[in-house]
Amino acid sequence: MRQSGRNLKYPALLFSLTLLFAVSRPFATEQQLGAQSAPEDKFLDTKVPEFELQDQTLVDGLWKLARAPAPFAFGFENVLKKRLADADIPDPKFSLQLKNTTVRGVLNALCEADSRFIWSMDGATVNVFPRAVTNDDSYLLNRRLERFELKNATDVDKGLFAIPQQLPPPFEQVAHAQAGGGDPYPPEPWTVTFLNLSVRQVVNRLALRGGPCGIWIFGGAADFRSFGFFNTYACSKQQPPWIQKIIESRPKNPQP
Amino acid sequence: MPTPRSKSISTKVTEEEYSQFETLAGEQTISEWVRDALLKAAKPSPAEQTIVAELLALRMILMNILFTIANREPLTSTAMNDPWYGSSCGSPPPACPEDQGGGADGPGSVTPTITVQGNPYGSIFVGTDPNLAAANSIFATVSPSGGTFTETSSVSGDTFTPVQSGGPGWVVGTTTQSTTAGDRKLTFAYTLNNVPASQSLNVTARQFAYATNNSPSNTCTGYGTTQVYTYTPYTHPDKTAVQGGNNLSGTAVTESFNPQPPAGTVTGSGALNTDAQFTDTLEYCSNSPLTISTTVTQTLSIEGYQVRQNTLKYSSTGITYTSLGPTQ
Repeated sequence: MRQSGRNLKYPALLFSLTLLFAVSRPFATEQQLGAQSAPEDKFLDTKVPEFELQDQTLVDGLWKLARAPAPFAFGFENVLKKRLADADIPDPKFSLQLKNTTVRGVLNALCEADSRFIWSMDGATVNVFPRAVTNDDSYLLNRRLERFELKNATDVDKGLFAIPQQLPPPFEQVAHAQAGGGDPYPPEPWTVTFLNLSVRQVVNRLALRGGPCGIWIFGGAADFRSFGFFNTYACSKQQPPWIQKIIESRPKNPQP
Repeated sequence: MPTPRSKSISTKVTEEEYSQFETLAGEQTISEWVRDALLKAAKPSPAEQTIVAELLALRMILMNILFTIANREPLTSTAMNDPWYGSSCGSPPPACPEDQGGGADGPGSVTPTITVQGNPYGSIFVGTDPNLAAANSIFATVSPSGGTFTETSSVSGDTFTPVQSGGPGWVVGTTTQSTTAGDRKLTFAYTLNNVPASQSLNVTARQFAYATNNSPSNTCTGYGTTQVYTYTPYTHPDKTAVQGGNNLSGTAVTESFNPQPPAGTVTGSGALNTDAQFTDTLEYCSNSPLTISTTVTQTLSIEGYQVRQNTLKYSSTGITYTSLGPTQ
C-alpha cells in the first residue's frame, strides 16, 4: 500500500522534531566532573575492584579501563605541539593502585595524576581533553556545527573530512593518520543529520557508528591535526551460543 | 480381588525343547511352568539382589581406596575399617548409604554421574586475556547435585577457575601449547557421599601463530593512503583458523612500531572482533599535501605471540605495505 505525500507530511514532521530533540538534548551542555548523571552514564558507577597502572600514561589507563569491567567508548585529545617538526611533548608516566572504586573514581584519579586533562560525558562517550582548551572557542574540537549532514557514509573518513567542509571559515586542516587497530563501519550506507553540535560531539558519533566501543584519538600538531579510530570490541562481548545451549540442556532441578 | 490373567503369550519350540520343558514342569502344566519361569526372569530374587549389591559395594570400596591413593592422600585407619564413611559422611549421617539400608547403588543410594562439555571445536587457547574465558570454559552436568569436584590436566601448570555464571564449570588457563591436536586431557571427578564419578575431555591447546590478510584498495579521498586490512589469525599446533563461534571478541591485538611512524600518526592497538578477525588501519590521508619519508617495521601480536611483521614505507604519495610473515 502506498502512502500519499499528504499522509507522510505529519509523520515526517513528527520524525524531524523527534530527531531534533534526540540530537540536541544530551549535547546541549557538556558535563563536567560531578555533574548530574544521565541514563547513559550509569556505567560510571560500575564497581572496579582493582585498577593498577605501572609507569604508564593517562591514555594507557584509559585504554585499560575502557575494556573492563564496564566497557565504554571514549575520545582522547592529546596536547598538541606547535609544529609537526617539533619534538614530541612528553606524557607523564605514573603508577596507580586503586581498590574498590568505580569507573568514575578511576577517571578522576587518572585526570588527577595527569592534571593537564579533564573529562566529560557526551551520551555514553567519555571525552578526555586538555584542561587548557576547555573554554577556547577557536580550538577545533570546541567549534560548533549548526548543522552537520552526512550522506551514504560507509567509512569514518567521509564524515571526518565533511567536518571542515561544513564548518564556517577559517578552513581547518584535518587528517586521518593511523597505524594499527580500526573501527570499520557496517556496510550499510549511513545518512544522518546532526544539529547544533560541537566538532567533538560529531566525532563521537562518527566513532560510535563503528560500534558501541568506538574510540577516537586526536593528536599531531597545530599545523597537522590527525585522528585515529579504534574499537576494543569489548562492548559486543556476548556468551557464545554453545554455552547457552549447554546451560539450557541441563535438568532444571537435579534431585539430590 | 486377584487381577484376572487375560493376555496370552505364544512361541514355537522344537520337539526336543518341548520334551525338556515337559520334564522340568513335572506335575505342573507346561503353561504354568513357563509362566513361573517368565515371572522369575522378570523379577530377580532377593538373594540375587543381595549378591549384586554386595558386588557393587565391593566395587565402591575398591574405587574409594584407589581414588585416595591416586590423589596421594593418606589412607586413614578409619577409612580402612569403615570405608563406607569418608570424611564427608562422618559417623553415619542420614544421607550416607548404610544408613539407608543398602550399599552403594543399593536401595536408597544413587550413583553420581558427570558429563562435561567444552566448546564445539575441542579447543582451548593459550594465554591470559580474560576475553579467552568463554572459549576456555568447560561445563559439567551432574546428577544428583551436592557433590564435590576435582579437576586435573595432563599438563602441569594448567589452572581451573570456576566460571562466573552457568556453573558448575571452569575456565581452563594454560600457557602451554599442544604438541598434537587433541593431546590435552582434562579430567573432572565428581564425588557424592564418597561415591566417585569422572569424565575426561581431550582438547587442543591452541597458540596464536600467524595471520593472513586481504588486499584492500586505497580509499583515501585526499592526499595519501587509506587501507584497512582484515586479518584472520591461525593457531598452532595444526594451523587452524580461529573459529568465530567462540566469540573471542575483545582479545587484545597489540601493535608495535620500529621506528615510530611519521609524526602525527596516531598509533593504537586493536582487538579480535566477533568473527575472531581483526582490522588494521594503515592510513596517512589528509586534506592537504603530505611531506613524509620514512620506513617502519610493524609487529602485530595476539596474547603476546607475534602473528605478523610488515614493512611500511611512508612517502609523499602515501604508504607502501610489504608483509614479512610468518605465513605458517
